Amino acid sequence: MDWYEVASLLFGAFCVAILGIPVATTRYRNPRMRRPTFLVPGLGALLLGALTFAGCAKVASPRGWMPPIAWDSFLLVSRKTGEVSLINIEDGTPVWRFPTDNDVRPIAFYARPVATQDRVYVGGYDGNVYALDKRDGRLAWTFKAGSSVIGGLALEEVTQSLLVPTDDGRLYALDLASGEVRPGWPFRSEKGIWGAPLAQGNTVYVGSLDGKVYAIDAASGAERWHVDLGTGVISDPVLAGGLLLLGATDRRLHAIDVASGRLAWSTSWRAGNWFWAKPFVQGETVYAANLDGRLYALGLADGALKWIFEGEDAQPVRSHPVVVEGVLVVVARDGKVYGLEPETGQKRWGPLALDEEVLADPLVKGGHVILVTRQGQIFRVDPGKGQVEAIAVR
Amino acid sequence: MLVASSGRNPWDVLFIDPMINILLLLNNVFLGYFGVAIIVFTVLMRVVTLPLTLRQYQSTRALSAIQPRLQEIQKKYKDPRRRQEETLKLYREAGVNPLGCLLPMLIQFPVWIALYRALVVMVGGTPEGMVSLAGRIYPWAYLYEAVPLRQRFLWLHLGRPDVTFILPILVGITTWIQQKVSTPSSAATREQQQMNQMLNWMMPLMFVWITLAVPSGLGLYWVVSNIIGVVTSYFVYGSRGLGWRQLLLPQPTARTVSQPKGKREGHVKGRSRSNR
Repeated sequence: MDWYEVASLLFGAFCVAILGIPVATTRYRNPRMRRPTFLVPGLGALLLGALTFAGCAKVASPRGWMPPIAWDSFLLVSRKTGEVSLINIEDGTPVWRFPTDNDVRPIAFYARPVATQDRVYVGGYDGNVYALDKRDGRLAWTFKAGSSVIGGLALEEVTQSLLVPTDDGRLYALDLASGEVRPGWPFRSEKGIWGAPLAQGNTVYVGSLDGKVYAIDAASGAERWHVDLGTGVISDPVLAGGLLLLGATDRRLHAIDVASGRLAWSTSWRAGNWFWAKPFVQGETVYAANLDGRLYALGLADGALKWIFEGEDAQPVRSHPVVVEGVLVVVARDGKVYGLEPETGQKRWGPLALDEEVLADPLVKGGHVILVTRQGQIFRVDPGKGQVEAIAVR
Repeated sequence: MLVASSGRNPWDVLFIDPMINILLLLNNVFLGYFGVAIIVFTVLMRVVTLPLTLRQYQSTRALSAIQPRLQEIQKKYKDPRRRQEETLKLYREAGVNPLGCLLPMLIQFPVWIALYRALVVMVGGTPEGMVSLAGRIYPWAYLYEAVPLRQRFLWLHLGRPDVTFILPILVGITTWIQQKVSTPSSAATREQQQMNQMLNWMMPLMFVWITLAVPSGLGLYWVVSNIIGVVTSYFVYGSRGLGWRQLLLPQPTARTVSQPKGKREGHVKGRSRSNR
């Protein structure tokens, strides 16, 4: 319970005490006075109405949708709001969790974590990046970015830096060992960065809600070029065939030729909502999930529409699709999982109902798709058989 | 190819979505200051519903003016049927419709509820909230630029309750003043008067309580809406002799029921004069 909820309850009790008690005891203080019969029920109704209204008007607090990552037989997930835990996926045993200290309150985790040889790095909605020991979850260092980390973290291998995008439009490159900001960084865009950066060679690509896609020199943090799409870039970028593919809030998918730094194509049509999910590319086809509840298959070279798949109830799809074992797997927010033919978009199986919301990206491990629901359940989907099983965590 | 959104309920499509898009438009017009957009939108909504508000106030004022005569009828006629006939006759003579103050309020309700819902959807600022908001924005590039909305305004984070308590206190004070200036000062019965007094206390406290728990964007809306309500009441009712002292101190309970008839009439007349 947050402090203001406690304060609200105390204040409610105070209201009842100073107003309800005198009214209720009026008759006893002055027996000749007729107690108005409607007053107490009226006040009760008013209180009840206020409580209900306060409940209805409250905005949902951040829950987080951190995608799971895995190494060996371990799975790093965020099953509770503001907490990450390492689980042995073979027997469901929890290994460690973070934070264990009450003074550390990351609020929620949205960003994709990064794992290196001995550490994992997680970005919190509280604006901090935490470097944790892989074995025991011990905190190695904290970097205070000062603004929520929503877009995924990324590893830049040339300079061995951790790339951290923030909600205030900055992109940091941190030294992996110490957490210190590299010289020349952070890079600044005009609005928040909600998509993950992509490091390729000595160039970092990132899209910003200011409408621009930037190519940045990994060593110096200097801008090489940018393309102004004129609309917020919200998805993680994908590089395929020399094209950088990104989804945007103008309901289009865009492709940028990274060699020339120019826009190669944008879909001539608009979908029903934002392309928030990271596009998935296989061969010459781009699979782009949309918040309108549809999955669009496009030609990589020109963005020509091949087919559209529509899930049940037009539920938003924020998790990116994946092709595993020759099956295109897509999961909607309502937890319905579909297995499709990658070439035609015809349904092969499903929907498999998880009965819980899914907004986090899936993880492919050992020919299976791992999904983590917003309620913290972990599911393993077998795309070949079209079956799903819950992973029990002890 | 434009794919239309489907599966939306008509309430959202007809009321909440247009309000969200107007708020986004205002946000862009006012350089991305969402707090200013809320203030301007509240003013616009109050202006649009002003005819209904004025009608409500006028009906309340007319009802208030005939309260002494209503009290007389209640005293004079013990037979409920006769009392009702005389009451209706009085309403006809005075040209008052007892539902006149209720109906405009009922018509405004959907508008205010939709505005609340629109603000609740918009001020959260969380990524989950953005998933919900995304589907409601019209396909116009100018509107897309608004998101994500700037949550900071003055000392407030519009998506979170005000931790400084300044806004809840402002909400309480403005609700109190609005209650004071818009509640008829004469009541038909002692119970009604007691209820009015209780509401004058209860409503501000309730709104302070609610503001402690809801996003500051809603609190901001209430403060602005209350201020406009006070100004409108002033133009409709006049000051009614309510100075700062009368606003801040509890007024003595009128002894209209228990006093002798002659004294009561004099008192009621006095109150009636002050209403004018």
